[in-house]
Amino acid sequence: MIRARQPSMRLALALLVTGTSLIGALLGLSGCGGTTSSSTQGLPVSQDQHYSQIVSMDASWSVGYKDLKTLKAASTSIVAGTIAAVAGATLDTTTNIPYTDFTVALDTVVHDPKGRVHGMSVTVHQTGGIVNGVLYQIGDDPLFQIGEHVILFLHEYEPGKFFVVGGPTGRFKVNSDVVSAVTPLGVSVPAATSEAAFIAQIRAA
Amino acid sequence: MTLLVALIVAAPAHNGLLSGISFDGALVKLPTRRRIGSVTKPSCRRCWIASRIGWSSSTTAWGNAVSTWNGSAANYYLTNNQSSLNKVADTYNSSVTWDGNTYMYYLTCSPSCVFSSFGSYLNTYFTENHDPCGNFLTHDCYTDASRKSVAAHELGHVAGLAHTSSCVLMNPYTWGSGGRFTSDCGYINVPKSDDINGVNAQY
Repeated sequence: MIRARQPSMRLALALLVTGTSLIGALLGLSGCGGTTSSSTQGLPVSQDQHYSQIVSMDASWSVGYKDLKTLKAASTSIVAGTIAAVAGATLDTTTNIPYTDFTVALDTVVHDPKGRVHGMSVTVHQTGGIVNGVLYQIGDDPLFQIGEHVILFLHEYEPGKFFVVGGPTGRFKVNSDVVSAVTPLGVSVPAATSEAAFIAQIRAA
Repeated sequence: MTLLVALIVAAPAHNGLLSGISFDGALVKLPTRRRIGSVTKPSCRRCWIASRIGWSSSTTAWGNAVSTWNGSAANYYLTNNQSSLNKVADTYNSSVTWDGNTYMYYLTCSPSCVFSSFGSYLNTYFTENHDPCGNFLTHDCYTDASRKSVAAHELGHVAGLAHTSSCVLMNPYTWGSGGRFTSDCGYINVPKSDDINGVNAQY
């Protein structure tokens, strides 16, 4: 059954970002043209940041994955870790869509057959960001938050930079050692699955 | 407000015309800032849209998508006006996994949302098959039919529809198990009854 989008819930959540603060980068809207510009300055966004305006986005994802085996096979690397910082932000001035790079501090490299992960952190690129106090994010793939513990299925799209495979189907949250899927439309994770158990399932897939 | 003004100023010149769109001059132009009486109301029942499209295949996809919605039983209509703030376009981005994306600008959401404008994009990295295609680990190669599926899906968002997991146009995945444009789902690129009911339940 189709459900109408409910901007009220989404926007209310976005208007009051709770929990761990997102240290965002404030992007400047830079004139006309079609180039992608890098952010020119970074400002901390407070824990209870109120956004003056919301831009909600909804994506069609090229591929979604509903089983671990296929999701694993489509990934160059699989990691478990914590969103540690915002590494950078860009604004595509043609589309006015912002992008944010997050540094993920790694606890475990679950799968990395081609040795793409170097050191104990990776940079993960995500659609969305904060532009002049305006929050842009995709509804079913909300921006990472600093301190969020995650298990990510990644693809290295250029040396040292990764995106999550399959949109939100390649992203899992870990809260109090319990793994949950970000979207109900991807891999089903049984209730009360521990991080260790989920990693074992991934490795066995 | 500052942002909105900046975006209007930053909008590049239009360089393409949509094809396949029936133009109904009797339609009343949607106010630029349409107040949504309830926050659960969708955004754009009658939208004027403009295009700035690089690929002719994208133009075809958007035109086909507009035609399929306009020809459906949904109380939803889009028509072409190159001066509109609402844009359909394409872009190239190899660092994301979306093949289509729509954003909605709201001026405020307290107590209710005031819709301003939208932009919908096809990502030609996928839709023009720059991303490897044709094996099960990636996806099938895009054609006019699957590009239409992506574009029509995005216009469903413009109408106010959210994602759903069943085999309808608003399934969020083009490919993959259970994706909307797979044999599992019957290669959907037109609004199904559930999509149409979702629109008409609100308008």
